[in-house]
Amino acid sequence: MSRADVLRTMPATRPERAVSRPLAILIEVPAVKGNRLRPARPLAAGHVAGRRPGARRAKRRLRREVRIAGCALLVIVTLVSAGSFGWSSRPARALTCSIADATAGDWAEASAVDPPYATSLTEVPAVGSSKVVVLSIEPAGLPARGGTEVPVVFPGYVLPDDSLEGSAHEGS
Amino acid sequence: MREVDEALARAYAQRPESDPPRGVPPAPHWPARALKPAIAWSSSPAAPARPAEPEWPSIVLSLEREWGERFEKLAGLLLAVQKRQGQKVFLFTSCHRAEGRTTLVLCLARALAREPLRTLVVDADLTGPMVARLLGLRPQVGLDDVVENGLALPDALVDLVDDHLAILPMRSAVSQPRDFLASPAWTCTLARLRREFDVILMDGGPLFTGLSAAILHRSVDAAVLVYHRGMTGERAVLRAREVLEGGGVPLLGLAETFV
Repeated sequence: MSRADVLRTMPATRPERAVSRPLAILIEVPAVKGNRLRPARPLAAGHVAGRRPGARRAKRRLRREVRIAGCALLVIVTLVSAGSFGWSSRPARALTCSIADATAGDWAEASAVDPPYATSLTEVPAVGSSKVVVLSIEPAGLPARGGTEVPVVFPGYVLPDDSLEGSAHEGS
Repeated sequence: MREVDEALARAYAQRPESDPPRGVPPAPHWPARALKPAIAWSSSPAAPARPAEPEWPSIVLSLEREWGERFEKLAGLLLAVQKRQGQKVFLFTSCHRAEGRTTLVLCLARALAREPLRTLVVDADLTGPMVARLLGLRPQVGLDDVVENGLALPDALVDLVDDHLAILPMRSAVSQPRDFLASPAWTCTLARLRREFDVILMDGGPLFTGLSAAILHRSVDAAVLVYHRGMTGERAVLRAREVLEGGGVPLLGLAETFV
């Protein structure tokens, strides 16, 4: 069958007269009690004979409802997953940029204080034009490393001997 | 396609009557095959063929008894169209299944059978034939056998007890409706039916659940759209009208069922 035969079944343009001329109702067939055709001979094997006439309709309706519910569920899952993916990726990107900006600012401040940091900072941006995030366990903004250490005291714990206690308490 | 049908009908009409009746070959190169009886009414092959006695569905009889004048009025309308415009092949289609299409066709066929005309009901629902099963017929040869397997057309025709009425049932659904309707055998069969019958009612398939009716409209003269208001909306009716009229089939009107 050629393509023209196939396309002939689908009119390309909407005929104007179809809209203008109303359709005549030739006959109205009333609904008679028990208005359903039933085969004169029984169905083939596999069909249940004597099934209630409303059972097939109910089954068809149930099948349609299940189909609609499945489609709705698919749409909802798709929308939710798309939304969650979009919203989860956006804050991550924003946080990355803020970290990069903040780190660059800290590096700039630290370069004036700490020469080794300054050296490393000047070398890092030279690798590429984009901002590079450097993660370190050292605090980036501390002014000096050799300062006075503040002892951390946990209540209830006995600190080890650092030879600073008084002699009166020795051996206790 | 209709011109081809009419030309073939004229060629059949010009054939001399002395020729023995033979089956319509499905294609020019296919040989005619041995024929089997349409309905196994008797075990003796020499017994003369007698008309079938269908079991008419009770709903058809009930509708005819209570609202018979409506069907007679529609039959008169179709006959007027047939006489005025020469249209004799009417397609009854719907948007969906179970809209009362076959019921209407059977009631209308019974009304037309009272007229002094030869009326034929063709089960043209290629994907879901129901006429034979509804009438309790067990055809050995169906329209599908005539077109696909090259069996003779007279063996598939079932003459009913009501004179002037014949049924052309289908034995099983067609796997490829497009190829079925595009085959030369279908064209030859329809041409012969046009020649032998005055009014042909085609119980076509639904428009929007398959492709059979969308192609079938190339073989018919006019169409009647059967619709059930509870199942088919206005947009579907408009779309069906566009499909039919876009294929060159005038839509005579609507037949509203389950009113």
